[in-house]
Amino acid sequence: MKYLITLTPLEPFLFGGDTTFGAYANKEEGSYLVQSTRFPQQSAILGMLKKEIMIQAGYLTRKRKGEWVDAKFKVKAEILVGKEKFDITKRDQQSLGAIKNISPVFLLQDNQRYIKKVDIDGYPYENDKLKNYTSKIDIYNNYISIDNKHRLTSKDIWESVEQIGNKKDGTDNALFKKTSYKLMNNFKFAFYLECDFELKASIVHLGADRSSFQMEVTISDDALNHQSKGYITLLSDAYITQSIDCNFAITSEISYRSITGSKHVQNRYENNKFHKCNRIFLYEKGSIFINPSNALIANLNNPNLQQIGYNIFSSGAEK
Amino acid sequence: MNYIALTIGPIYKTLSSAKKTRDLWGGSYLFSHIIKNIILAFRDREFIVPYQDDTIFQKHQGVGLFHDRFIFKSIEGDKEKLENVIAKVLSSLAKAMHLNETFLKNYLQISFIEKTLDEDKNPILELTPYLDTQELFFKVTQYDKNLLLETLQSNNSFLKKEAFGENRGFPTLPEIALHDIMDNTLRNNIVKQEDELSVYEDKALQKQYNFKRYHKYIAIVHADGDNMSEVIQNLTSTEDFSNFSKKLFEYGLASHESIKVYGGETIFAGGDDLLFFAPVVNGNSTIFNLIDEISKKFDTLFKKENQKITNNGKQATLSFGVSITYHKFPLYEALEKSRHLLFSQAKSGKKNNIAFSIIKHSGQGFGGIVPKNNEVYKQFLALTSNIMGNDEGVDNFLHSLHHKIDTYKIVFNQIANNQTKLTNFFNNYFNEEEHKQYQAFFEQLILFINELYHDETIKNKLALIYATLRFVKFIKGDK
Repeated sequence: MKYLITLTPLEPFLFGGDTTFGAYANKEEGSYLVQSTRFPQQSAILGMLKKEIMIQAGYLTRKRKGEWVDAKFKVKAEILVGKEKFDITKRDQQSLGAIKNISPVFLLQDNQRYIKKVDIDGYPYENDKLKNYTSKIDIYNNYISIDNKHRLTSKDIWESVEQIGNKKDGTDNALFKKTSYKLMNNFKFAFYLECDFELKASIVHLGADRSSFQMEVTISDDALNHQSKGYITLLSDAYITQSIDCNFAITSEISYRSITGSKHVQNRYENNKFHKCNRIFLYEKGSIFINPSNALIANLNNPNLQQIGYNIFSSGAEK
Repeated sequence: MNYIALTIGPIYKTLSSAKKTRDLWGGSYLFSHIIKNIILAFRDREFIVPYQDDTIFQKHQGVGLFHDRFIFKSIEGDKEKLENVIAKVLSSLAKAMHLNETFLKNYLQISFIEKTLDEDKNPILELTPYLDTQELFFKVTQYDKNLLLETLQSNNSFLKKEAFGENRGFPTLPEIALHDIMDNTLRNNIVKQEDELSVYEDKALQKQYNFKRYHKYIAIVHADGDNMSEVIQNLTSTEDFSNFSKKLFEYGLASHESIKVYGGETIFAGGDDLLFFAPVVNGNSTIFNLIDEISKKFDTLFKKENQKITNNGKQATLSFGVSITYHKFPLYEALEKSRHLLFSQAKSGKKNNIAFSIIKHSGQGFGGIVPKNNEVYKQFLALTSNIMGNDEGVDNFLHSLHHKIDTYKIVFNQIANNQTKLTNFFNNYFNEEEHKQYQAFFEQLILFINELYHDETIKNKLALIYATLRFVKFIKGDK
């Protein structure tokens, strides 16, 4: 089945980057201040979907003391959502069970789809420089509708919410300040999903605070398509393992760390078996590459990553 | 005429990873060091920026004086030579710092271009857009640990030696914040601890040295030139460019001196870009007095150039972002705050502003924007200097002053441009015995408010009054 999934935040959300506090943070990275990222990671979406599918299939036991998959459902659960934890460094496609394909997350406002994209169209690249560009311009803060070319900046979409609080451990220095986000102006997160499970609407949780989102499910054959001439645009964050071979590029970096731990989903307040895996640096969605080489395109076309919505880029072949 | 222009980074990313003052200094000094050594290999070329003579290459200046860009007149073969020079400089630096060379080469983002320009073209104006463009192409590298940061944190003695002449460290945050009460005993107390901030938990020490509230805070100040392109546009001859670069260098050096005398520590002073730490107060001066001194030096240096500008009353000036934060506040956030204050607030409108913000331990804060080109600024400076006594009741007094103005703000707004009426207002509400000691303060406050209400450019006047009163309360009070 092919779906359009939308996620409407029901409360402020905190998508953790590298720096968070709480049980997962060690002294070095735990911080007095935490700032949410604007988009969820594709891997977080995958994790959310896997869990939700298991809940809807009735395979996940959820009690106050924890959540787990009973032994009797283990095999069925593995068929449904795959056995392995997603590994961003693997190229060969890992099995995700019923999940076949997740598109990059984008923004939706009244049926208009918006993506992050550096404003290359406003400052075209000619003869080794961007026309009319100066360093005072924030070329990265640009969100365009792929349906009607409308342009926005981050302040039209996100509103930050600051909170001062005290950590649960209650020590003297437990004071912290976190900046979460809200989506404004009826914006929602959205993505296309292909899966062999009849997913239903539900309330799901994402982010370091496990904030709730209303998940709506609609049948849809549509896809996230964007054309660009003479350059490719990253529609999602991308893991590229070779040097960038192209005429020029406008890029930004985002770091990625997933939480690894035991196979079963454990209550996060129990003996902390979780720790963050190695840090990976990705090219951020919205980056563009002018005349990329075939080798670069081949490196981007990573089947394992593309199936969950990483390394997706616009077509730019036509001139 | 051929020119080569080069830019180096990632400055911001490197400084953002800093957790301690020395990381911030070290990360910045590193870039300055690399640029200096590349320039050294092209000593006999004519540099448009930066200024070049023997003094700039002197060791032990204590601060990075080189901007993150340069432009010079090139000859045939220079482009290839530059590739080799860069490789050599990075290789020796990696060796001297015991840092993995591959990591360093991949981490740094160095780009350069060579262009041919007609004789009548201004190389700074022509080549800057190419460098601005190049800086957008960030090449990601993978690493689990930032080896550069690790090296800076553990063993940047090579850089320290070059900068300071011996193996002394860049001061810790408390050493800077406590400058006006510092002695050797207190310093030893701070540096011998594993956690440099633990001095703030030592109640006995605090009592012994009479720690004030402002001692628990640090100021980070970021300054940048306004309308420099107006000055640059009027440069035509080689001599013009040389004088301009020389003045920028003199400004950097003079600022560094003023900061040192005040008790602050410069992180970098390259071109018209200045970043430094400072205590909030030093004796009878506040951070605003220091800023004023730096600003005046800049204005004097560029007086002639400003006289030549004919465009719409624009002048080359300095804007400042001042972030004052509690000692536990992460440094990189305080740094980002000062950047935001500078570029989003101080440099708005007619520029030439000081945008300041104080963020307290509770997370609550206050701040304001003061334009530097008018009488209000003069009175603001006078008011925020230490002109009040150290009375215990000062906290309450300032609080009630703020409250009174706020309660009667409708009336206040009507009378504030009339000095007599203002005087009567304060006389009426603050005529108790305990208020007599604040007479001088009231006189200064009235002058400040009166000028403010005669000014046509400042929009939110009450907000600036409150922010100013809160700043005075912050530096005078103990709560």
